[in-house]
Amino acid sequence: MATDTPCAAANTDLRIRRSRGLDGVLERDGIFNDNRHARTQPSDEQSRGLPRARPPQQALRRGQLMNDTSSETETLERLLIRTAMRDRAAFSRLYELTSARLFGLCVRMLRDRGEAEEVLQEAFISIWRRADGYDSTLASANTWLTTLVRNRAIDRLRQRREDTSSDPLGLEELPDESRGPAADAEASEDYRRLERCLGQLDTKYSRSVREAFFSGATYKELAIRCEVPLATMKSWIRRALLQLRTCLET
Amino acid sequence: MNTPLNDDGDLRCAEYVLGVLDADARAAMAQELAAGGAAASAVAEWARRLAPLAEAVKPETPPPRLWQRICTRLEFDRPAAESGGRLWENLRLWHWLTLGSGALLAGACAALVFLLVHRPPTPAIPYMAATITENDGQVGWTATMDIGNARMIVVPATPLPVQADRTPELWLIPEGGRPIAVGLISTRAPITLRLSARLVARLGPTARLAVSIEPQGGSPTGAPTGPVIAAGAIGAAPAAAGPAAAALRLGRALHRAV
Repeated sequence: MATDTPCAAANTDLRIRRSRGLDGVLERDGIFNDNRHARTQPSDEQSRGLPRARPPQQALRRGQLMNDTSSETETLERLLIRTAMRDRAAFSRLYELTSARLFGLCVRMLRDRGEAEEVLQEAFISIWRRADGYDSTLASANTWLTTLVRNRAIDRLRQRREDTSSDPLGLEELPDESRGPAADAEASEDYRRLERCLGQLDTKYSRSVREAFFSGATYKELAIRCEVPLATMKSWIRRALLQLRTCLET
Repeated sequence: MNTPLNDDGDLRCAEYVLGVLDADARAAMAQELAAGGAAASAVAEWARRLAPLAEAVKPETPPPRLWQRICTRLEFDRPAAESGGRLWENLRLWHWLTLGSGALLAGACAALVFLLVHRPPTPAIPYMAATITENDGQVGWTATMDIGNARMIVVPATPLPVQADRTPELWLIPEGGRPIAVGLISTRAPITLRLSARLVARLGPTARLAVSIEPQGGSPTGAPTGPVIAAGAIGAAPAAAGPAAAALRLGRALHRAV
C-alpha cells in the first residue's frame, strides 16, 4: 500500500534546481523503439498462416500486468496501437482505463498532487505523440506506460534539489509496499513472481529496492533516509538487483 | 559491438530503470540509450522485470480537469482540419486495419546492410524504417528509407498473394495530408524505389506508409482506388543515430535474427 513515509514526504519540500530536465534532449521514452531491430523474428514456417506476432507464452507473460486480465491487457495494446493511428476515441479510452493507476503512481512518487497532475498530463501528451514508437514485441502496454510515466516522474524529482531529508528514517520504518494476500489474489502473474523473488531477499535489500522504485530517490537520498553509508546502500541495491535477475530467470 | 553486457553494464541499466542514478549519471545513460547502444535491450528487459511493482500502488482517480487540459494541449477541442470526406483520414477505414506492431524483419536490416555496403553514407544521413502490417496483423513488408540517397527498399515478409491482374502499390500518407504514390511493389521480391524530393520532404515519424491493391501499372487516378491491405508507421532513427549507430543496431539485429 502506498502509505506515507516521513522520509519520502519530507522530500517533497525540496525543490529548486530546475536546471536540467531531460525533456527535449533525449528520446528516452523511445528506448523500446530504438531497439526494435533487436527482436528475433519468427522463422518462415511460423510466419505462414499462423499468428506470428509473438509466442503465446511470451504473450501471456507480458500480457498480464497490474490488475488486468489478459484480455484487458490486449485491449490496452490495441488501444495504444489505435492511438498511434490518431484515433482520439481510443486514446480517450486508454486514459479512462489507465489514468487512475498511473496517477496513483505519480502521487506516490512525487508526494505532491499538483506535480503529479502535471507529470501525468505531460506523460499522456507523450503517449499521444509517441504511441507509434510502441512495440508490443518489446513490452506490454502496461510496461510501456508505466516506464514512460516513471521516467517523467523521476526526471521531475531530479529537477528538485538533489539533497535529502534532514529527518532520516531508519530502514525498519520504511513502509512495507507489498500488497496484502487478498490483493495478491487479483495481481498479475508478473507481479506475483516479482513479489516472490523480493520475498526471498534479505529484508533490507527488498525494502531498499521498493523504496527506490516508489520514491524515485537516488542512491544518495536513499542512503541518507536509511542512515547508512552511500557505499552500503549501493551494495544492497546492486546485490538485490542481481539476485532478482537470477530469481526472475528461473 | 554486440557483446552482451557484463554485470556492471547490466547493473547500470537496472539502476537507470529503478531510478537511483543521480541527474548526471541518468542523463549520460539516457544519451547512451538514444544512441542505440547495447544497453537499450537491457533497459527494456529491466523495465519488464521491475514495472509490475507498480501494481502495488493504490489507484487514484485524477481530477476531471486533467483530461480537459490534455485535450486542450493536444488541440482536440478544435475541429480536425479538412477532415471532411477524406478517405485516408476516415477512422472507420483504419479500424479494420488491425495493425499489429510487429518488429522489423531481418529483411529490412539486410536491406540496410545493402545500402550501407553499396554507398557508404555521410554521417548526417538519417535512416528510417517502417513495418507495414497487413490487416490480419501479419507483417506484409518492411521498408527501409535511405534519405541521403533518396531511395527506399521494400522487402516483402509474408504478404498475402495478390490477384494476377492486380498489383500492390505503396503510398506515403503525411500527417493530415493526402496519400502520395511511392511506387509499385512486389509480394515476392525486394524492390528499390526512388524517392522524389517531394516525398523525401514528407518522410518522418508522423507519416505513415500504406499499401493498396491497384490495377496493373498502378492507380490510374494518382490516388488509391483499391482496398488498403496494409499500413505502418515510419520510425525515425534517433537523433544521434548516424550510420555507425545504424550499423551497430543492425549488427545486433542480424546477430539475434539467426
